[in-house]
Amino acid sequence: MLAKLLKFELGLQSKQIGFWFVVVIMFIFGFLTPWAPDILGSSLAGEKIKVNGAQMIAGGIASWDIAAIFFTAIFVVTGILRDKTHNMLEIIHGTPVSTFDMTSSRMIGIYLTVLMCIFSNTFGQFIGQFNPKIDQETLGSIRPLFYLQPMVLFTVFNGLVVTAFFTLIAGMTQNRMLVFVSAIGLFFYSIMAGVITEVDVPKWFQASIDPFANIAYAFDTEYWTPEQRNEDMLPVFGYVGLNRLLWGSISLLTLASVFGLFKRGLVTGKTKSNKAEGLLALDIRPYHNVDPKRSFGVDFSTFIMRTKFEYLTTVKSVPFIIMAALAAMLFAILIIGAVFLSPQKLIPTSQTITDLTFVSFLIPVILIIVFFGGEIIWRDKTAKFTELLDSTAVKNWPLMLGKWAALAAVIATFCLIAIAIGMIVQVLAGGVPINVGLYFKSTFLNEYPIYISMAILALFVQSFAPNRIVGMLLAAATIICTTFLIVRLPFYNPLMSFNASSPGQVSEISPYGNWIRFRWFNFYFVSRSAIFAVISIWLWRRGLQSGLITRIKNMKQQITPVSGAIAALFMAGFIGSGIYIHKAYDKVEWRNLKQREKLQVRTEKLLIPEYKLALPKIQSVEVHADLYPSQQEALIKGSFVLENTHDTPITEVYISPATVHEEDIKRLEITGAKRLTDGQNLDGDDIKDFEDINLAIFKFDPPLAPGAQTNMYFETFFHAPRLADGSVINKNWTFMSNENSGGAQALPVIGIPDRRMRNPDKRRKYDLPELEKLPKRDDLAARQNNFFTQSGDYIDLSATVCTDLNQTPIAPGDFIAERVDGNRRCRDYKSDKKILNFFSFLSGDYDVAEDSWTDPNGKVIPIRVYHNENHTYSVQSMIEAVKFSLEHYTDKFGPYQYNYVRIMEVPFIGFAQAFAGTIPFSEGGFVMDSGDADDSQSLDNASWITIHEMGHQWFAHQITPAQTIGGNVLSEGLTSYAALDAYEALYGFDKARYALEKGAIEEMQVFALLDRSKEVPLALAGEQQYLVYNKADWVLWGLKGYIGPEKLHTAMQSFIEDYGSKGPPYPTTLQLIDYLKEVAGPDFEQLITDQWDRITWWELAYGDADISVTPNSDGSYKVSIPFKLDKKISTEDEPKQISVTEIDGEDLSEWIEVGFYNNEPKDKWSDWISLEKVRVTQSESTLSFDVKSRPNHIALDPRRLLQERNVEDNVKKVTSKVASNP
Amino acid sequence: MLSIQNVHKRFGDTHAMNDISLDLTPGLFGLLGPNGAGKSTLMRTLATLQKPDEGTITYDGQDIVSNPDVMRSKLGYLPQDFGVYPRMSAKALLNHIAVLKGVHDKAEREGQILSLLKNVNLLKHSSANVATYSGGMRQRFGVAQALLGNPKVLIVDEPTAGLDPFERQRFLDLLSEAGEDKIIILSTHIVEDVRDLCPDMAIMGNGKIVARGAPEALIDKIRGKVWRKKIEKDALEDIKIRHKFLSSRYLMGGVVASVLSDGKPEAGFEKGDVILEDAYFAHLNGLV
Repeated sequence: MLAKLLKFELGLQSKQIGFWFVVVIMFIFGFLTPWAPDILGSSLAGEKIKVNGAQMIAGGIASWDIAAIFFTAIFVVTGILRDKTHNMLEIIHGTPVSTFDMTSSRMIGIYLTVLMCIFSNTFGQFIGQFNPKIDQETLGSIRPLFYLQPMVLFTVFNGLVVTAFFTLIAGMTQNRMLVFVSAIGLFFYSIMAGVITEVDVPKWFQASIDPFANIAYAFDTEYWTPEQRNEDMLPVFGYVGLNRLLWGSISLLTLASVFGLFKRGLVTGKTKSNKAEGLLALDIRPYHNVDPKRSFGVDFSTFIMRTKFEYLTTVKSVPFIIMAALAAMLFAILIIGAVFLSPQKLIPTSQTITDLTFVSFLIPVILIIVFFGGEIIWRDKTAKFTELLDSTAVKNWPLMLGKWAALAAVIATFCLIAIAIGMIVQVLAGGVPINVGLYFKSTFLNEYPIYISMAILALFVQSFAPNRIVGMLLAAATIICTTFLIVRLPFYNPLMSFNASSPGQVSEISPYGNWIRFRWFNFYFVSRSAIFAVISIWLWRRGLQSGLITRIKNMKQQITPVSGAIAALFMAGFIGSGIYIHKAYDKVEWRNLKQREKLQVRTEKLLIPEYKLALPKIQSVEVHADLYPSQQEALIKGSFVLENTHDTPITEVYISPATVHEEDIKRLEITGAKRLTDGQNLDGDDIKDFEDINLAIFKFDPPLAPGAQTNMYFETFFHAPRLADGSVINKNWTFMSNENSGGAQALPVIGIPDRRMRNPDKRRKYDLPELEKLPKRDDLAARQNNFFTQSGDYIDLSATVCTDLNQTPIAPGDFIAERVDGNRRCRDYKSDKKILNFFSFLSGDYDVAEDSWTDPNGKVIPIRVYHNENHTYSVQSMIEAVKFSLEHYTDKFGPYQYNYVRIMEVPFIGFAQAFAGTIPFSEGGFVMDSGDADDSQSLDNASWITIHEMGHQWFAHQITPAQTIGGNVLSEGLTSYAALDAYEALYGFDKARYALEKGAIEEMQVFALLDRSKEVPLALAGEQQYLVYNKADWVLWGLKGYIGPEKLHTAMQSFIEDYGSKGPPYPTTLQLIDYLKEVAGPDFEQLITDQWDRITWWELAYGDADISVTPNSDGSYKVSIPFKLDKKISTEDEPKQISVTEIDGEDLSEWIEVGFYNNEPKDKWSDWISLEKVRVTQSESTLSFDVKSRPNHIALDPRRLLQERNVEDNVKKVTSKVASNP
Repeated sequence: MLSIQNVHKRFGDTHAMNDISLDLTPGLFGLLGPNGAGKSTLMRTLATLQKPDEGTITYDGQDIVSNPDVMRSKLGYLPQDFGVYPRMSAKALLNHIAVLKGVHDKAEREGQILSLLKNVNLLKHSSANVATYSGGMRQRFGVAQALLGNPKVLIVDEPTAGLDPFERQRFLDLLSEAGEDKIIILSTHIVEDVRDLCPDMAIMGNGKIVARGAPEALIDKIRGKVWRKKIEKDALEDIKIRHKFLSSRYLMGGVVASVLSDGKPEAGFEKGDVILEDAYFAHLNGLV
């Protein structure tokens, strides 16, 4: 019986159009998965981590399993609830088939159907690796086992989980709607389970709560090297195994319980049934007729009534309430996490909260659009109300528009809920002003339009769907394609965007910047939506024969003069605005992703020889920057003094103007040189070929002799926002840099900006040679240029910045004078000693907090923090951090070179940047909570970042690295270390160790995986941030631990004394390492080599034997620790790690630190009884120490001095009994 | 006047309406036919829910196929089977449908709903959810909603199926009270529904109108020709072959067979009182 029923089930499920739809879609997504890193430019995989490596496959399979949540719900509804849906319940449930056979055949049928759908995805992934378009370098060898194992570990179990879950719900409730809602609930739960990883609970617990084992999977592979990720399969007895065991059992139990809970027969609802009172006397009275009316007014009020009806029915429905509650919960968890629980606590300003809104509500809103869009459109059909409805005289448009308007209102309700939650959190947090305007602006001008544009698409495609389920799937697919994929099409242009437009970014301190774009794009968008609406009205399902083809055939009859005229009107608007917008984009030569990439490739190929041309260097700069924030315009003029510092004459020089608009270049002249507009350059290229590259080519005639100087003059206009082209000037809080770094480029740049393609996989795709590395460290010519800019060494700056009266203009240099002229405010700044050719101009409506610091010679350095009047939260921390770092760095590394320190708040950036004594700092940095100074598990980023940027005044502005490999380590690496050292001095060891763990060690490992290029030794680091910031920080911290801070700081101070502020030749890591080795002595020479000149990871572990603790006669204890040690080396060319024990001529000889503790050292690592250092030369040995009191816990390398990936096994409780005294 | 001329409708191989022509004037019109005869297809076509493949339908001279709004604005329709929006009271749903029908004025609307609720005897339950109504109440609600506005054409499709005798009677009373000025089309497979109520009727079978006229006129055609006999069950097949068989029914252990014949068909047959049911079978089976 069971076999027959099962066969019937499978036949039934596989006959559904939905099943095949899912199979095909899943296959396509599977097929595209190996290709995705290529298409999406994602850095998840590439040359280093192969797209068909074991873990990319496992991860791909594990994450696609989540999709099963949604289609399984559909299959369960078909499988379990079809009797009810088709009014067959009484008949089927009345047959003598046993409940066991009936239920189990259905469950197995559903389970197998679900597996088939997921397997089709996995099969797609397998086939996908043969796609010839995939970059071959990103593929490893083909290993079917890599697919089979995750299919068993993930798919087989995950399929069981979802089948069991939905069967339970369906069996218990017999309610289709609740099954769908529980699908959304399960989806949310799996998202929220991920959020919980941020909370401090045991790992096994975190690994267990996620029914799909994604978290467990992340834990199992957490410390894996790229090599392991490519080659090793998941351990079966890890967190994933634990999770599978748990959820497999839960699922089987659930399925078993379904037999008990399965409600056979009719489920009686709670609503009281109304029985007819049939025996009443007949009493029929004449009733009056009312003549109906038809007019636009009547139709309109019908529209209003329908909108209200659809809206209220939706928001009062259980699914909506559940969905809203889930989204609200997710939002609340995110806010609470970000504001109160994360190591860096945030101030819950309106800005902080609105930034989180979009993140947490985007997915819920998409689900609402897809789900309720379907519900609303198909409501009449579902209720079997269509015959009544469609035979009334109501017009189609009030019905259709009522539904569209209702969904818009539903989404608006959702947005208002988000706003309310945000405000409630602010009220509860207390003391933070609620910025109502910001809430509504960012919600209804930035987010709501995006939601609405998705909703209109979703509703529009429903017009073409044969039923609700297909309609929903179609809507989801359309939203995904138009939101995420369309921009990647080679022929994409902005007119193809389906998103409504916002007027730009908005923040608490800066208003919207581009209303022109807003108006035009929304006019275009509204016109298009109106056409969609009219078409949907024409295609409206009315009556019983409402197949798409019938409706299209009948469409002509639906076109009335009014609707035709409206369509024509909007079509005119659509085409008209489309042409206008297109022209505007054409005028500024807008390019899409693909076109930009192609131009980039062409530029690179064309300019290979020119990159090497020697440049004249800027000696001094004079600037007059006229900013007009209220008009969002600027005029910046000035001059450079240029000098040929090379020993050969310069004939040709390339200038990169500050604007791409030729007409905005008011002046660009070099004395003694002529700008070329035709003919050929030195290299023989046609000048015309450079037209779209935005470079000005100048030819010196006669050539600029070595040592000769000349002047360059420039005047550039910066325009107000245009339709296709925003303005770099904000209405408030403008930030411009001399070159294109951080702020918008304000001045012309000498030389060709480096626009080379960085992604190695892309380079292969476009047939570009491997990216030429930075010059070697011993390249003396390269050392003539500094790492930041080749167009100048140290320069004199004289700047006048003018702005609107209510704003303050700021530039580096000593403040000379301020003038107010009418409604303009001007300030003069002048450098008293030379600064790097790296400076900025700012203007904003600032409040100023002032303080000062006196250096050891009695010189007073004024400190000013320019901030928005309401953003005072972090200001005091910043001032204190400035003072502390001035004190600390002066003491350790030498004097501060400028006469001032200025920090300025800037909107819309996510960083802080150190210019000479001036530090633009992101708005987000001004609303941080410095946290509890005694809580070692909290971060104080406001102080830490300030300390970091202050560190750059020594390492970047004094030690200026050469333009060679490893260069940035001298700037970012030394600064990161200096900042951590100062942070430790400020807050103590435990807080600093925590900051190191969070800010450097964790970050390093994550970003190392995401980096597409090969890893190199630290001393040779190029652009890898995880090396120049994180690894350098960690390595120097370790060295400090071994040799002591005094020696290390002496080395750094001497380095500054010898190379600081000297100009070329600039130093490299070669020089730095010499200083380090000199102070560290021969004992640590190998360590420095391991850390700097090769890629080294240590592995420390306890041996299998017990730790023994024996009392000594003097009252101390002898502790013997069985110890295992390994040191693994890999190189750039051989990423496979090799143990030094397997390398000829190498020996283990490592300094290992061991800490002895009374209490488990979880957040108080400094609480050691003693800390011992021992040299270990064997991979297995027993380490013995005399410790003054009996330790309960032992920690290997408690201060994190060595690079080790997995330190979870480094702490051990001493369990052995104290051996008796012999 | 509602005029149906040479209307055809096919669903695949099924010829649901085969050259239907009918002219209808105000008054109750009964459409009698077995299940599957095409009654509902005709009703739905008249209610503008589907279009005929061929033929024309006009109301007061206006084509309602190409211009369904003409019909919809005059129509009250009670489908054979209808659902309602969940969690909506009778009052609210009637109000909703009234607005859909174009009853714009709130006071008028409420007045009419109240009087209709009284008439269909649902006033007491008017705040209860329609979804929880029993079959009879739901049908009464159906009539009330069909009568909203001022329909000139009232189409009720199999309204009495599933109603108990009392409810059925009440329902028919309601219909006959609905108004003299309306064309009321009552489709049913129950002969009694038509017998007492409809001055005009048609019999439909296999997609065709097989007879048309007043019930009395249809009966007159076979008056004096209906013969009945109580027989053994086994003899029924034989009678079916040898005579113009009309119908049979069990009666206390035996079977009473009715046949159509000008004279006494055979021994044992006696002349019976002619009822509409006989006329129905006679026409349906093509015996007259």
